[in-house]
Amino acid sequence: MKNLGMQFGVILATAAVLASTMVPPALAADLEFDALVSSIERRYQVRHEHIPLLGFASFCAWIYTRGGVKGLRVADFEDTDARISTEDIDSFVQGKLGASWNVILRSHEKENKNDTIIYVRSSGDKFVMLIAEVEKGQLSLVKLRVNANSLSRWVNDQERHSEK
Amino acid sequence: MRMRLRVKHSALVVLLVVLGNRASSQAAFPVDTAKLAERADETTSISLDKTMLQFAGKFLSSSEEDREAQRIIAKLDGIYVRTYGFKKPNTYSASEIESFRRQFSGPEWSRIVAVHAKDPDEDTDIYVHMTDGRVAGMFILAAEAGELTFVHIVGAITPEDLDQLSGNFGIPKKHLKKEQPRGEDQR
Repeated sequence: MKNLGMQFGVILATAAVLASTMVPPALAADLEFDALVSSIERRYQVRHEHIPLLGFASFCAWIYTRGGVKGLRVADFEDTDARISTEDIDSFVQGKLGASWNVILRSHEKENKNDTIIYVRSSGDKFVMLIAEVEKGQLSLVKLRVNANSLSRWVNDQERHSEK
Repeated sequence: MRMRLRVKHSALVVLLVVLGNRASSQAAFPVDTAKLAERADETTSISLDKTMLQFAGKFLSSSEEDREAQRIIAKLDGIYVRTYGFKKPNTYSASEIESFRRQFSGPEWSRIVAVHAKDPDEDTDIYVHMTDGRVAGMFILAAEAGELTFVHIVGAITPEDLDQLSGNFGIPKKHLKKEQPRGEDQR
């Protein structure tokens, strides 16, 4: 009886360890992103909107790209009073992110008043991307983590697949 | 709550940059394009420093052509691209283009390619930047009726390397082909 209890305990402990290691990366806390979102909310007096099933989508992306892309986070701000300008949000985001981030792309479309800025931080083979999009006073932030080696393996596999 | 389509577009932009065009960071750009940016209907600025180039290089395939491209980008310190799109043709003047060209009249820059195509009307200039007798970079000016593209490549690059890289990293492909289509004049 004592043996059975011990076995049950071992199974329980193993299950707990497995469960903890299988938590999708999207569900892991991203304090940097959360802090940025909160500070934007405070600065512009706006609330970001909850996007349902985003964690699941991130988990799917992680599985699909075999660990290439993970940690997808999105925050959408409806700025009805049009307080957010591209120049202001750019300098604000850069100030919050710090010097380890670089801007790799800026695009502007005059007709739709659409601006896109992509910030990147690198760390070995891992890159973190933050995309800020401002359109007619509305702001969207997308953040994702990219493992270059995993993603390139996946991309090359896809290319080989399509060649067959 | 609605997930705006533009967010998805942004994610797509990232994938295009990293995976597709394998494009783009920020160094001193040799020409001042601020006035053009004010008039352009669409502007895109891509900046790939050495680190980002190495990163983007990982997405090149294992084909011989892409391995060659990987070898070339390993020598580079950066690729910087500015593109300005205009809905109305000829929003910029010939004299403006000429003023850009004059900025490369110094002894450290040499023009190695100057192509004018009549149909469609396109001008392409390629300049080489020399420092202490060595190639330190290249600059491409590609002018079409509705679009102006400036590409600054920093690092040791040869014309052959440029041909190899064209079509990747935001470098326009069509302007750099060795074969000249009919109706083109070599200036």
